[in-house]
Amino acid sequence: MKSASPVGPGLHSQAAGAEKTGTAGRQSFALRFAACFSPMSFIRLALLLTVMFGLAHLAGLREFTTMLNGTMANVEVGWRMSVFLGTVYILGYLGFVLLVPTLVLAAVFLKVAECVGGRRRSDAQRSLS
Amino acid sequence: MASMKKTLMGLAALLLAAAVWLPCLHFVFARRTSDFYQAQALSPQARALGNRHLRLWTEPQSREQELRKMRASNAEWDFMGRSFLVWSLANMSLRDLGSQPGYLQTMDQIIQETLRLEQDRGLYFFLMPYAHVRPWIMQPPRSLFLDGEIALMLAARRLVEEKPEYQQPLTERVNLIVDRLNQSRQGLLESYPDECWTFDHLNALVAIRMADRLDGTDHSALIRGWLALAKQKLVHAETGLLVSNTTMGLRALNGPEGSSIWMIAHLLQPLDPDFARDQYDRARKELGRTTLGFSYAREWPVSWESEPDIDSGPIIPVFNISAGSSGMAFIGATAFQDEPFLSSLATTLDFAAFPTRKKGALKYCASNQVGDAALLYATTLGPLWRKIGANP
Repeated sequence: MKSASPVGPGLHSQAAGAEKTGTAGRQSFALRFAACFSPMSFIRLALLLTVMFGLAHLAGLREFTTMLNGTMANVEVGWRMSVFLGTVYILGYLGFVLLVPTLVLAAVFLKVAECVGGRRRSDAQRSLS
Repeated sequence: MASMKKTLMGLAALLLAAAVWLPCLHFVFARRTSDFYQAQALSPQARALGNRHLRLWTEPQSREQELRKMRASNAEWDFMGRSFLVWSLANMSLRDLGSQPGYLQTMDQIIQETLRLEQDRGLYFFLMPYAHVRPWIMQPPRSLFLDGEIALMLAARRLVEEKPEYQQPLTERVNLIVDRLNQSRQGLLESYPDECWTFDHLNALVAIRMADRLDGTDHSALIRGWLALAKQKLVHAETGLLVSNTTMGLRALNGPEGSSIWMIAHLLQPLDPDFARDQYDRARKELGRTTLGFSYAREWPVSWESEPDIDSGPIIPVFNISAGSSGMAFIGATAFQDEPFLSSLATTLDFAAFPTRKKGALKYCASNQVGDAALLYATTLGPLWRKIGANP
């Protein structure tokens, strides 16, 4: 009765290992997820959205937004494709107009918060020393 | 723990940024109302929209392409695009006397081609296919949609400058409408089989009023009688708004609709100014909405439920935005000098209708030729109504 454990020591260590791996996995996911909320990530996403909208615009998809009133931009292309291309443009536009400025502003707010937080920490350390 | 804090801070920053940006967004698209509409002169927007339409009528290939796109969805739009453009050009001619000869030439070109198409291709050329589904109640079949708008085109042209060739066609069409109105048991005429549209009746009545002014006739009793009928039988009880269409037996089909009511209120201005103002105020209350500085219009009031149709255009959910009603709301806002509404409608237009400017011509990509022609009408309306004693 050395061990009251229902499992052998080998299994125990395997489970502990798995638990460790799981915790590490969760931690790395949390870290990666948190990294998405950095000022730089916001700016990168804003740039990506801008480029995507720019490409849709340069491709002439703006014309296809006429599907909003039930008209095909191009009879040869057909209704389904017109709706698809119009929707791509509208989503790109909304991303550019609504999300890009929001992301840029959020990046600025975060950067300011980080600077203020960093200064407070260094002030606190200085006063402690 | 640190990563959780970072995530929460990021989310908080996003929320704060959205809370700052979204209420400010409308400032980016805000324009002076005078860019859209001016009481006396032609606004920059009117001129740019007008350039696009004039170009369509001088470049047959572009026009053909534009009409093909519209007719693939709705043959009516081809016809209404012509009507709105002729009425706009009439107003533009009265605002900009220097450009009048060019405008009159285009008006004549449109009128003559429309009359020729009506004569050669018949009644159904400008109607939607469902016009074939049921028999017409009144015989011989005629559509008040066509008769009213053509009469109004002819009358508008003659009000700007007399053209003797149009006197007889106008008189014939007015007499036809008047005779049939007198014959109709309920005082209504069909635009489609057993389908009578308030919008088309008012177009016809305004054309009759113009013909009275031009030719010295007097149909004021008929106009008064029809308006009394409308107030008594065509008003939706919950909202007090005129319904869009009924059967010949006066059964409401579509209830009050934004794609009709704004123009209906404007058409009422020279016929019954108080009723016109009443209808506009009710439409504004029931259909006009403003969110974060952007105005738009619903197609139906809350008390009337209906499915989207070809007039409403697709309805954008949650906000219930109708492209058709929002476009026509410009006519109401301009006609009734509702500057705050007009200003924020214009903001929405620049935000959501995707304007494109090329060589001094403006078009809205989210619209089409008829939509742009209705907008052009909204930017120019006024002088024609003043010619028949109204004061929009």
